[in-house]
Amino acid sequence: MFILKITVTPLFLRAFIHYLFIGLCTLTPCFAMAALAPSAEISGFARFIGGYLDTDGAKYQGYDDALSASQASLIGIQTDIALTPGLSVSGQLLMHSSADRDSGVEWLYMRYSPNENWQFKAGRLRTPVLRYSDVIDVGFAYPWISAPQQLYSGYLFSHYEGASARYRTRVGQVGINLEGYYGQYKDDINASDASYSANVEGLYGGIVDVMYGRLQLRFASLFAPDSDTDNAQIDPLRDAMLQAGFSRNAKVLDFKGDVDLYLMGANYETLDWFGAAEWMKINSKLEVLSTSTNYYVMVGRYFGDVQLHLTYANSRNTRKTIENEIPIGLSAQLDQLALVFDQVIGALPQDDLSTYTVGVRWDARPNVAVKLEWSHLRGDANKASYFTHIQPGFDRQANLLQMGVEWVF
Amino acid sequence: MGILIKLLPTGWRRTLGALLISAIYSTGSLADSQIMVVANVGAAPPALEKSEIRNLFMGGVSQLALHPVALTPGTRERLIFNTRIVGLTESRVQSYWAQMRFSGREKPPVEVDSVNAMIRYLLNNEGSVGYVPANTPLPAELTVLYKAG
Repeated sequence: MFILKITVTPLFLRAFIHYLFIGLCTLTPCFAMAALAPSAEISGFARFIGGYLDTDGAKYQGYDDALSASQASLIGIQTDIALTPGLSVSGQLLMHSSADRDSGVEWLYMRYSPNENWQFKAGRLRTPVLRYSDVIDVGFAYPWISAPQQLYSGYLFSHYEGASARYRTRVGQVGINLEGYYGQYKDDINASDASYSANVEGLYGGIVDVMYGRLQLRFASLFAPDSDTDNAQIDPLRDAMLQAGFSRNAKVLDFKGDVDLYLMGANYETLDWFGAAEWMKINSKLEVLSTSTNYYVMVGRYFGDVQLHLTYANSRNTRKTIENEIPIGLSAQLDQLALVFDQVIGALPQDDLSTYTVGVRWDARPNVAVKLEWSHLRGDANKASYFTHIQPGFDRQANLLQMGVEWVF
Repeated sequence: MGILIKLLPTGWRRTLGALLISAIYSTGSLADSQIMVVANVGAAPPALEKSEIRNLFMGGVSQLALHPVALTPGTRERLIFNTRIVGLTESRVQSYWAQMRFSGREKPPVEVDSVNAMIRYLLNNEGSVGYVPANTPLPAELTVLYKAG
């Protein structure tokens, strides 16, 4: 029996209005100018998505075996205010229905474009790694309801506070975009059932986009040196290891080190067909964070305003072997400590998952799209495989059905 | 038949229209489906290739100091322009611009809702470039840069 759950509560709405008010107050001087400047624009996007997972053994993306519209539904409002012809301020406020996502100011940045080739941004920005990273909340911009989780939930540092520079040029019939960014990340990372507080002081990366006719290639990188991640449940264990003299175990639980990410992507589209693929690899010096290789391949066909698409996505995690240095059998206390260490290491998220997705999108109006999507999930039964709230005996196989409406205004 | 089509929701009508026009293109029987790209560029019009026009209308960087003007979605000439020049469906064009707009990169071209409005806009804005049916009588101030069809 389906139970419809919608948790966009009055409290939630009040929180959104609160954030909207704060955001608008932040922009008040700009709005004062906007009264004189006719180029101030307010636009927005919304999505109402319902989904159902056909198992009671786990959750996936927040969905379980009760029909829910509160995992991916959202409303966003963007304000772009031109201060001068080349200088503008943009803010994006988001009200998200998911408990795992914060509502509030998603973007807030100043943009300076001295000419057509150069664009500089400074403020709170989205990390532009994947093709749709910086518009992942704008479902109207892409074919799926859920972009492949193996990549789009896995690139860790989704936003940053800092600056970016973008240079665009054209050589013959080849368009080239180069972008570099630098900033800091300080926020929570949710992985499986755990939440980690991450702090990266000097996050940086670059993107190269090459466009030739219908073909677009993308190369991107992200470097997070000395990333420092804390977890409220694990930190006391690390301290206990230190006090007991097991410094190597403690270092494993310290969650400090470099994280590097590399991405290659390609997409090709014609009037009738489209195809896209992205491949992403994450390396880390953190012993507890797996090396991760993730990719998807998608092909689609247009039938007028209707498009049908098929996607295969995959993730493979490889973790270094972590040796427990606590000797077994010397004392009950040490045995207990060793057991807890092994349990904690064993519970750290590893995600090996293949998904097969079939989706239909119908552009009912130029700014409204209706989508229906079915995904078959096949995960490694010995790993979390992006599932949460896993019950004993769950085989990491399930089907996710979603449908929804995307709107831009 | 016409009444039946009118009873359909707007979205279905657009889909049906797109399919019909696609079918007509494929048989090559629509003789008046040509459009021309015209601009208010003074005495020395640049020679443009299709890829340059596509680039210009999709927000790409261009050495030409031209700003594009498009017709609103649903107009026949826009459908022809998207099909023949841009090479993308209307829905793909819309999702592309949603991505550009909400990622803070580029903004879509200015839109006008009719061929007459297009001509007026081009006349009033030097450096603007748009598209009209190939048989449209043009004022002397406007220059044909490209014909498609």
